[in-house]
Amino acid sequence: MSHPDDEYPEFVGSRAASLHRTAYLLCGDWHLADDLVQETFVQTFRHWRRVQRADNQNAYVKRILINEFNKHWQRYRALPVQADAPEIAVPDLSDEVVNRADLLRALLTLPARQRATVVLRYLEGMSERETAAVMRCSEGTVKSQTARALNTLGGCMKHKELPI
Amino acid sequence: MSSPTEQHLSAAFHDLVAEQPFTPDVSAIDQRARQARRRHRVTRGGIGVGVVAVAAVAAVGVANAIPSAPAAKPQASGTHVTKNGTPSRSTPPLVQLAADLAAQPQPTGDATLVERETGAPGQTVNVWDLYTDDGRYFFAKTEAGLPEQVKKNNDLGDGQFGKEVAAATYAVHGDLDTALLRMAWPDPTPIPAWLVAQLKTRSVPPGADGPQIDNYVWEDCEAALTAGAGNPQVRAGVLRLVAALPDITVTQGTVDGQPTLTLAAGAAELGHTGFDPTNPKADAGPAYQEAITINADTGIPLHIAGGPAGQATIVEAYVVTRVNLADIAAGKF
Repeated sequence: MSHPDDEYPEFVGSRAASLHRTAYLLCGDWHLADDLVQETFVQTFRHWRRVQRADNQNAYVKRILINEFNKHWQRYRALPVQADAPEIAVPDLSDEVVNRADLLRALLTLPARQRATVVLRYLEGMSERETAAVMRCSEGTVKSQTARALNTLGGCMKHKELPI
Repeated sequence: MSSPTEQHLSAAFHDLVAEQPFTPDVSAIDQRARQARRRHRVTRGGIGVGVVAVAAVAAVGVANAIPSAPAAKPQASGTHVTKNGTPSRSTPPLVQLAADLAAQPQPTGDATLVERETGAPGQTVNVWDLYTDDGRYFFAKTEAGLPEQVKKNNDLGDGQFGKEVAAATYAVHGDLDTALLRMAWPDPTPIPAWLVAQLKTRSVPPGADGPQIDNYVWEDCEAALTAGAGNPQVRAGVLRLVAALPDITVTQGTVDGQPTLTLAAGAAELGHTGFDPTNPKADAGPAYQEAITINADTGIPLHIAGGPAGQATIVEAYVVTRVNLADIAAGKF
């Protein structure tokens, strides 16, 4: 690639997998996740100098990803809420598969910000402070959004895997 | 992250996303980004008329956004148009309702019970929230499960809902600027200086994504309105604050025969998404939109809808009841 900054390809390589996982839990579709991450990196490239100057590059790029996800809603006016199990690469129909599908459906039922909050907290392992920085809200709001999301996820689960 | 539920959820999330390879196409990224930069330069070259036109379209979009909640029949928009053609908040209905509610006495009971239905197309989930006046929060998947949660004092709120309700209560008669700050930052920690600065300027700081205080106030108002839904004082405070936000539009309608007001958030309340400091509005605007529908006479929230412009993808519907905590503990509903 002819990019003048050698750091950028390295940055992409180091963040791609993490962003891809996050994108999938936001949208529930691996192919859409591919597109969201690809577009996130386009925006990152466009604003590369700002990304380099950011105190927390990870948070900055995650924020771009969430913006891209929000834009997707506007463009296509639909969420892939019919996220059935086939996207989940598991070889048999054990109870675990059912639980995974239930969890994914439950996650996609959440309002967008609650969903993003729990994905950042429990997939990315971000602290409440880091999550607040990405979501641009107070830590208290992260707490309340998290509490509501956990309750709804627990309510959605047919199995007692998320005892609340 | 310490509770078993949180640990389990974290493990489940990692399990869901395991073993899915992805290799970004760096060359395509490079090409797309360079094309976008060129387009951006061209766009900025003709910024005068273009931005005005886009702003007008965006204004219409916001005014017509979201209020299309299920069964709602908007009758007349509360939005009025300013000299520059953009919609402005319509304060009279909200201010009047807030004043009416503020004059009401404290309700009987000591807690608010909310049956919450979260729904997406083809999927709805009903759960039960119990918010006490002293700031505790109990949750159960069924109404019958609440007494045990109360007896165990299984408070899941960590005090957060109580702080937001307290901020709303202050807002009933308190100084408006102070009330906005308290709702934006209900925590006891010092209010950040940048938040105070945003209250004064309401402008986009250089290099920032955009003003955030309105977004903070909006989100916390949503939480306070549901947590304090059984208390007219809390509802009054929330509505006074919402009426003070810059991009709110109000639509009158009916839901199941009830007169309603739908309060749709605009770009300021939902947070700008732009990243270009030289033209913050370029990428700004609410791709995601949100609206609260309340009973026009009581201010009690009926539902909060969110989704892309003009389409409510997710709806949280509420049935609110004022209760005594002791009765709930005793299984008396």
